Amino acid sequence: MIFDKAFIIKLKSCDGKTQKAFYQQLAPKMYGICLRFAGSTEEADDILQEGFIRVFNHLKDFRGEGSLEGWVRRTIINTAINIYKKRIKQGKKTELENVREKNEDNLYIIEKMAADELIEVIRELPDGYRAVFNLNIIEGYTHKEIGEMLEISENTSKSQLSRARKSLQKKLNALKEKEKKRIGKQPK
Amino acid sequence: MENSPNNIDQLIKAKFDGFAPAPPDHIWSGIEKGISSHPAFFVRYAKPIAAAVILLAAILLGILLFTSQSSNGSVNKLQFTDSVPVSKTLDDPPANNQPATVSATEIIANSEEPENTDVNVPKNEYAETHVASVKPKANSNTGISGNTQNFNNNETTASVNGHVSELSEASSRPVQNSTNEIFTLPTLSLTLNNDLPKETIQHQAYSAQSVTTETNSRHKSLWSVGLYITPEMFFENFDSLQILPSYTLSVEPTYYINKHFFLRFGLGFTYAHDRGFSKINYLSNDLLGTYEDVYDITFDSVDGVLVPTYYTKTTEVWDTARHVTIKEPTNTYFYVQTPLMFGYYNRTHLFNWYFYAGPAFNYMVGKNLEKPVSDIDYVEILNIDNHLPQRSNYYVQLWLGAGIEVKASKHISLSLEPNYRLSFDNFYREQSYKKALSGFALRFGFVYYLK
Repeated sequence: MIFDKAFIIKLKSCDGKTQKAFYQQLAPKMYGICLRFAGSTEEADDILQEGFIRVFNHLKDFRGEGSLEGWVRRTIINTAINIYKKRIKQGKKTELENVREKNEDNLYIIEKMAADELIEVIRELPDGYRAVFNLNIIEGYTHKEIGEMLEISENTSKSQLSRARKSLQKKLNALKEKEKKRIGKQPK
Repeated sequence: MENSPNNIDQLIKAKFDGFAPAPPDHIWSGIEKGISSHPAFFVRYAKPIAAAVILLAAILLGILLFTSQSSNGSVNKLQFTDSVPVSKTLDDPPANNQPATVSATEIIANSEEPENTDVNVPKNEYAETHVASVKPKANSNTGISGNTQNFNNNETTASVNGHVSELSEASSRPVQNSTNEIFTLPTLSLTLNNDLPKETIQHQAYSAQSVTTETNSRHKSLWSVGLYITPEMFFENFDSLQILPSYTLSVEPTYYINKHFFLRFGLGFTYAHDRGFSKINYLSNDLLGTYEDVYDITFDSVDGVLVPTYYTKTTEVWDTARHVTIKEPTNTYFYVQTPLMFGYYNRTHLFNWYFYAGPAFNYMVGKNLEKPVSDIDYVEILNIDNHLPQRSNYYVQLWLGAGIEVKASKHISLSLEPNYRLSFDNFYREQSYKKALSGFALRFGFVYYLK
């Protein structure tokens, strides 16, 4: 998505109509990100709202050197991380889970799942795992970058990702078992 | 398929590539509150409102100054015929027993031509006596109440209240009691006026009555015709629509039903315009450049040296990204306006004030609708999200107005009218834009009073 120069100028001049058009254009995509990062739909709503407020309030800082959509995406992700950090400070961080390693084929079940179903699975991950998983696997940040963003060490980021994967596999296995039972119960 | 973590990662990533669920509607409301980008009416129209307020204040200040100066001047002129101050002095003697003399002195001091006292008084034997008697009496304790017969002196009252001719007559009468200061009041006034040339007296009489006569002539006018220029601004705006100020030029005759009520109607021509908002998605399909694409490499040995040969073809790079742009098309309308107002007015000799209310009917006689893509050429339009509603062919407004008219000449006045306007919900054709709209107008007018 490329926003014209005229659009960006109008957006920077705080024109209400342009702001709404901009929001309508990008909000669905950004909401998808929020849902992945958030522990609940309500939290996703908060991230999107707070993120766009930050976007509009700091739009004057956008120098037009890269993609505006990319800039908004980064802002939304930073907002999600800030909310995650706040939750850690409030002591709501979920303890790490002891995950049993299994090397089962989960590709099939992932392929069958819709994105919103997959989000439900990802949402069940502990907060720290989910943040690292999203940042590394989907957004493509390196562990070094993730460490700086989340104020953790690079190694912690790596281990969190590893545990996130295992946790995800565990959940996918459970889903697969559930699916098998459902198919087995069906009359032939 | 290999069940490596990378495969799962890629699969998960691919699942979210296009994942764009619609966010709930309430989020935008929260964002709007957070950024508060929509300026209020008074912020949007700060400049014209400030200009209108300053103009109004300047006019009012001018009227006040002019009124106070005129009233100072007119007191002296009207003193000649106005019996109230003198009669009051006569009827209500002050407690400290000084007033007759003091009041007379004040009258002399307030007189438009005080020099006449010095010049004319000695010529009149009667006045000379009483001017002389005034000074010692100022220190005497002789009470006014002790001369009650003189308070009831009809001739004295008559001469004060009456015409110039009567005053002259009174001045020639012999004085019964030369020490009675009560007589000095009419006598002094009489002396001043009596010694003026007859033309001056007549002129003063005319001046005193001319304002009243002129006012009366306006009071008698049954008709006036006003030419009004009216900028109008709207309080409300829609999300994707800006109602720009409209301008009306109108001719409005007024019929004065009686001393305080009038009926106004007329014909106006309104120029109105709306600015909309359109979001356009398009593909530019621009050629961004070319590059040489290597599709094959061969290696040859030339003198024992391995030499690669690259086979390339020129590849064009076209812009296939979706572009988003916005346009703000403007629709222009022309209306014929027919107001029908009923009002209350009050006239003074300097200005009139009034207020009125009534419906105004607007009929569209012309329009120019701008296309949002009028200046985008050579692109492939994917989608146009146009938010510019069209106005109705006919709509009704309710006007509530007040105004002041300042007299510019005998028949012409200048008027200024702040005006509140409520447009009913038939302003726009589209259902989602149907709501009552409030507006503010400031009318400037030239009013001609017919004879």
